Amino acid sequence: MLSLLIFFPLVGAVGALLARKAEAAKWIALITSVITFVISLFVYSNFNPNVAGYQLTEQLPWVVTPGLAFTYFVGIDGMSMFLILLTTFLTIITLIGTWNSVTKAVPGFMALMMVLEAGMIGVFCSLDLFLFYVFWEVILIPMYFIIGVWGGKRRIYAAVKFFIYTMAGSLLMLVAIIWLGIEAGRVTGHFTTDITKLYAVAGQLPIDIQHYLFLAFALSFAIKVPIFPLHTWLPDAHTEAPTAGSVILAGVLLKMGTYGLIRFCLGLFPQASFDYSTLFCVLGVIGIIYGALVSMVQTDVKRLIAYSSVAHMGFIVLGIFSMTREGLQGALVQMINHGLSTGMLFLMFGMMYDRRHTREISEYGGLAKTVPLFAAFFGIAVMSSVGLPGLNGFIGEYLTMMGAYYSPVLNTWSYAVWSASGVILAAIYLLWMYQRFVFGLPKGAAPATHGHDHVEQASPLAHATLDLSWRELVAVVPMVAFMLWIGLQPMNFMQMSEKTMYKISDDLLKLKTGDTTAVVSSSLRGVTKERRSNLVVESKAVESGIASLRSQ
Amino acid sequence: MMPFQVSARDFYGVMPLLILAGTGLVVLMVDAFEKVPSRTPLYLTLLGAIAAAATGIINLDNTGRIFNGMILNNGWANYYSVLFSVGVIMAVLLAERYLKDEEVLIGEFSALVLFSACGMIMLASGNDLIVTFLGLETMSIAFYVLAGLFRKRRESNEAALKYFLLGAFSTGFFLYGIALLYGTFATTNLDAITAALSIPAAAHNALTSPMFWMGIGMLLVGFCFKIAAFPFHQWAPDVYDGSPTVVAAFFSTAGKAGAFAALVLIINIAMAPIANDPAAFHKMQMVLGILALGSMFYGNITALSQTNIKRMLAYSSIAHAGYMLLGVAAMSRQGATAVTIYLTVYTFMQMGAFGVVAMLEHDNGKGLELNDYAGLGRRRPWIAAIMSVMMLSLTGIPPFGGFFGKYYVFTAAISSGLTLFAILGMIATLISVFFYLRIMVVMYFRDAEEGEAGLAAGTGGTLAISGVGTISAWAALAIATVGISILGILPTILTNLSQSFYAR
Repeated sequence: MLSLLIFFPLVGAVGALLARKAEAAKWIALITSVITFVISLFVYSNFNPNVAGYQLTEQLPWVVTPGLAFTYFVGIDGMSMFLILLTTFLTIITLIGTWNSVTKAVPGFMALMMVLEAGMIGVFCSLDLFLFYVFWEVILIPMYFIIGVWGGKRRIYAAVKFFIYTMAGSLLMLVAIIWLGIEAGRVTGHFTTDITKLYAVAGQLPIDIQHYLFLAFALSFAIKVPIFPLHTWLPDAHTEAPTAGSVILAGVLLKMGTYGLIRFCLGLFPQASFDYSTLFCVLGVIGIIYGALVSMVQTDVKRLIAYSSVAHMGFIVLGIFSMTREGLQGALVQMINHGLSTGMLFLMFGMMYDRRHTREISEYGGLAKTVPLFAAFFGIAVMSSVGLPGLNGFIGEYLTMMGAYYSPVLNTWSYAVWSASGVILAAIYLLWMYQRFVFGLPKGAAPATHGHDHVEQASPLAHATLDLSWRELVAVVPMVAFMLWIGLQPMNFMQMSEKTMYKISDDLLKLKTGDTTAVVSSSLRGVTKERRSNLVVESKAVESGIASLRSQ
Repeated sequence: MMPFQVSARDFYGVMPLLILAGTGLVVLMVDAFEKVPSRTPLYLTLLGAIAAAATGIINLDNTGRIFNGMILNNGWANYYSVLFSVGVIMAVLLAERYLKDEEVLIGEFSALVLFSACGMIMLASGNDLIVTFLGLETMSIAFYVLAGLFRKRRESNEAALKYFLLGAFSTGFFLYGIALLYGTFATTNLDAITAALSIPAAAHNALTSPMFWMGIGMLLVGFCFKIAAFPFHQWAPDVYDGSPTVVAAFFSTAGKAGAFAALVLIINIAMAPIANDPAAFHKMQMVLGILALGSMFYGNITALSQTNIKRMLAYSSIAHAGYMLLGVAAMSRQGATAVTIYLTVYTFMQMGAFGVVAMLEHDNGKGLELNDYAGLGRRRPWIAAIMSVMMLSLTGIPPFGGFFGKYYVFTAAISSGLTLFAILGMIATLISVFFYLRIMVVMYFRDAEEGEAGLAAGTGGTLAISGVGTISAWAALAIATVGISILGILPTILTNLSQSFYAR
């Protein structure tokens, strides 16, 4: 069933290529992605959220030679299920939302989108490191073409930069995969890249090898996430990519990095993860604050959203390396949230870009008057990105900060405090952008050429700007629905991944502290007694809060 | 020593070689007596190469030595016979239109290609250094002539002369190396050398004598010249650039494969017992590893600055020799298998890339610059797509065959403790991403204006219109594309064969 899910989009890719006509190719891609979504829902209906391990696994021998063996091994757990649904959902939304944006070589574009979807699903399903690597690389090619052929003015620079950055990381990962397989072979007698087997073996390797392997994997994922200071490819790629590319890039591709961090870095090398957790949390917090500060000074809407991604991904990294239940669960929820809210920001801005063909904030204004529907939906996306309670963004940021606060691994609350400042900064840059973008006086084309002051009258172009069409509403309404749903009823979603994330966290903390029940108290070493008891009370309150949420 | 006896089995074992040699002679005759040039030589060559490949496949499970222990008759020798035959098939298919455009007869080309393939088979099946030497010379002499095939073109003559002079010099080194190894082991038979190295006392004597190291060093110089590895690569870009494109394609694939087959046979298989002596093993690994790294970095970095696609492919072939040398440096059977897989994939992808270049070349060596490829994705989508597949495969990106080639080589290197070399190799690969990608950038991302404007103004647009290749050239490209796609998804086809490679 998973194989069907992974490879079905390829049918659409071939179909779109053979279609040759733009309209036909679009419909083939859309129908394929809808069927893929239905398959993913079917997978979900067969998925049991009460089991922590891998489910629906399929394993076939692929390349088996003496001394080398990798299998076609796919399976999902709560974390992958979540991300697969996000992928299939966002692909449909993207195709609908950008229906008319792509005008040249449409069949090729649609085929690449389908290959991209197949690759992304494949990444989230792979349980063999080698298969994972193959899908990871396969994604690179369609994205490279999407940016390079259909992108903006500096598309070639952006595409090549994206490719080389990612390739640098992934080649290192390839060495690490081979090395790990061989080292595992020394322990068990068989070369293997099957992660269910490696989980048992990797911890027994000499600690310095674990460190090297951890760093190689982490570097590759850190480039993809991206973690400061490896983020410089992101603003270029996001800005120059066509709308559909930006949405998928922000919505799903970045999650591959964080997914990899949880699945492989934490999963395979817990000891090394502890040793480097401080480094990654510091970088995460730097990313949050740096991303926010740089966002603030952007004049280009897409660049601003791109830098806000750096900040948002910082929260996820912080949550992951806090290694607490809340932190990891929060990180996962934040991955989904970021996919929805940043995806929607890019999508909606893309709609406006199709109408006005400029990315400068200063060229816009007064949209609330001319296109009220657009302004309202864009506002929801902004609020969600800011982290307004009641919308999805809040719950993820809250959980990651809480996780960082109580983490026995980090052992200090300062990360949580610093990262909280990122929330405030996010409110500043996003709301300021929203104000300049949507409110104020309507602007449009070049200022009127005749002499007298024309402030009161908007330019004809601004009036000509159309509000959202039915097609665009079909794309954005489901996203808003999910934002509200996650924001108001997070437990409906979090149950799906709860068992998985808790098990990952518990395994890690057990290794760290030797005892899971001591998690809270051990995290409070070095805090005064009164403060400690207060915190225990607080954390109890939080837990009961979660319990009450769950009971709803 | 046994009296020298030859039986029918011996001849049956070298059947691919005999078929290719016979075809070559027939083609020469046909070519000489034909009044009007026809396609007969092409068909004959194809027929011969297919027959040779078929007998090679039938003989894959053979075991043992033939011609009194001089020649291998196992999976290794026969697999390489098949590979060279496939190389011949692709080369002549590509050459037909290309040579017609340049007014050279296909017959001469086919015969020389067939003779050089005979030399390659001798290289891959030589179980005696003397046979290896004979193979190397047979191959090289045919190559010297092939490089100068375009008699009227100055570059072609220069290439032939350069190749010949430097090649003759390197042959001297090679022969001297054989002499010194004979001095060490009192034999040139590879089985006997393996046996000598397996006895601890004899191995110790050999591995501590300067004569052995001098001999191995000389031998390596000879091989490194033939495979165009740093620092003996200097001839390669000029020769590849000056030779006819299809000839360069054949040099850099089958020719390289022949030399590598022999090198691997000597280092990874015959001298495998060196592993028992850690100091000597380490020394050999270091020498080979440094040659490998030098080739990778030199080739890739220099390729970065090339604007002529043929030269770029020449430098990239130096880099690929480096990757394969890393497999040799592993000094293990795993390394030998890895190099074989790499060579197979490399034959397809390099031949495919050169094939595209040959197809787009027109008017006496025009259409070779990077700018001539601008907008190719729009003008000639199929050619651009094939070129992209070749470039992605050369970069080593899954799901194309080149990825598995690199994967196996690096795995072999890491298994033998060369982790650092593997990491540096990956960095070299990263450098290569840039120029392989640049071709795709030019083909797809840059608008055709410059290219088309140039054509309209200058050459009458041959590139865009009449340059459409004949069916045979398309067939060669199709073989290459299908080959690397299949090997990229199911490399097991090859790895399963590797069992038979080491049958004694």
